[in-house]
Amino acid sequence: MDPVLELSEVWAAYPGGRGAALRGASLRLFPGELGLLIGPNGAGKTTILEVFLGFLPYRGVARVCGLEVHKNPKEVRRRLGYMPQALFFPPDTPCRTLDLVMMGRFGFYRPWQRLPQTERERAFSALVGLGLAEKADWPVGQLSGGQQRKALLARALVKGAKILLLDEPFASLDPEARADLAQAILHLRAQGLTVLAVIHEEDILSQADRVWFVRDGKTAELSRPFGPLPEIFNLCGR
Amino acid sequence: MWSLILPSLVAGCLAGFSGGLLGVAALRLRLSALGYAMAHAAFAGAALGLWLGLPPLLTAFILALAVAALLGPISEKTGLPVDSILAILFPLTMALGFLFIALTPGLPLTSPALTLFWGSLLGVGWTDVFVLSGLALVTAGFVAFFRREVWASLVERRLAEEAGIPARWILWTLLFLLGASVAGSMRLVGGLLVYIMLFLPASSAAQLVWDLNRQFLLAPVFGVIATAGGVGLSFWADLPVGTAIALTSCGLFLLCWAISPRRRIPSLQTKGEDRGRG
Repeated sequence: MDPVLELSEVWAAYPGGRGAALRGASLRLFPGELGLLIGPNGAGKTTILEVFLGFLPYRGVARVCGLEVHKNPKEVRRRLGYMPQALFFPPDTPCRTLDLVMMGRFGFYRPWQRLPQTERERAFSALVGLGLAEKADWPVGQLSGGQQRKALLARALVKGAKILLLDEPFASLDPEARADLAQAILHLRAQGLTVLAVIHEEDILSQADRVWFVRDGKTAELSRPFGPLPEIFNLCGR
Repeated sequence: MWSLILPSLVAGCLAGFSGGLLGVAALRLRLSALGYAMAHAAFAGAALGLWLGLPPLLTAFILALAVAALLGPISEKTGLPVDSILAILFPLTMALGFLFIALTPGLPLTSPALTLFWGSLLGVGWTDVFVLSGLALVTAGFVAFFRREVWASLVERRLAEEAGIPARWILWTLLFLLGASVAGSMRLVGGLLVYIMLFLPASSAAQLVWDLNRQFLLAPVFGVIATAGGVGLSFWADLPVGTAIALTSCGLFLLCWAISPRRRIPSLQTKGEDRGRG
């Protein structure tokens, strides 16, 4: 079986940044797997997701479903659903929850094409699936942190992507919201979706298929059993 | 009387329309420094024109547009936020303006470059109306045609890009149009007050409607009302036109603030109003 996400000896740097953020990172994630990236802050975990999304120039090999990212950025992004890091909407954000979810479909239409009613229904179904149906018309900035993360997950799902990139999905959530979101992520994996997530918490660590420790822009794949996190950090050198 | 006031009135309405429309984007992008930087770039351009013996309005346009066009790419390349770059460009263009004025021998205080600083009711001609008509048409056409793309780029740029929207180009184009709008409005309002036309109509609209699409509809209307009112007030009360437009814009904002039902944030009780987009 071919990997759906693949990095091989990837080097990448942010414009204006000091030095490379990735220094020969490598990973392979296969269909239906849950992969996790752990490591200290600034190690390059988010950068790995951004390379897959085509947000950053890179050297080396970065492929999504066999497509080289920098050669096919549009096709690659259509295959990926993305939940960005620490994105919390302030209360005055002029966007309703349903509109945020529908945004995931905008790229499938030309500017002159009207979005059909089916897109609204599809977005609403995604919210129903994540238990947010009654919040569909709420301003997204008035949802709780956990609900906002779920709305972003719904947005990633309506793209119809089979691969999800989740950047710190549990950040700033209370234990109840974390457990709720962890269930949702595991449910998606059970449905056959491939998930690559950056985490700092234990929530889904033991359920992962693959875990990479990221440090100084390099990746090291860990062997089972995964966790607990403090032990991994001690072993890999904090 | 009408032959005197009509070009200013029409130019003011067109500038108010474009300014209101683009102000919604400027407000959302929190580019409050943009108005200042553009105004001073245009001032430096006009001074350069006088020094080189070129038409000052043309050089004002070129420099303001150059600053607007370069903002996005410079920010992208250097990794600096647009606001920081504006903070650098602001004193630089101001200094250049004064330098060019100092280099121009025998420049009188009533020169076109200096009226660009505080505006002129009588300095506006049909050429300005023609330029502002084109700008209003392009701006309205762009925002209407790319309404989904503009909306998404203004709500969250990264999410828009991930959804397949060329958010970078959308935002750069908006910045460019903002620069053009500032340069085009300078002759009427003056560089010192031109940012009012960008921010006050949009801020007024945001007091009454929360939805970004509705702000795009209401802000240009407020822009036209405030500017036309300002031109009228200037003529009637013999006030400097920039000052009069500033007064009517502030008055309109205070009125909207006073009657704002939700102080910008919709209450949960009214969440059913204005159901999304399509």
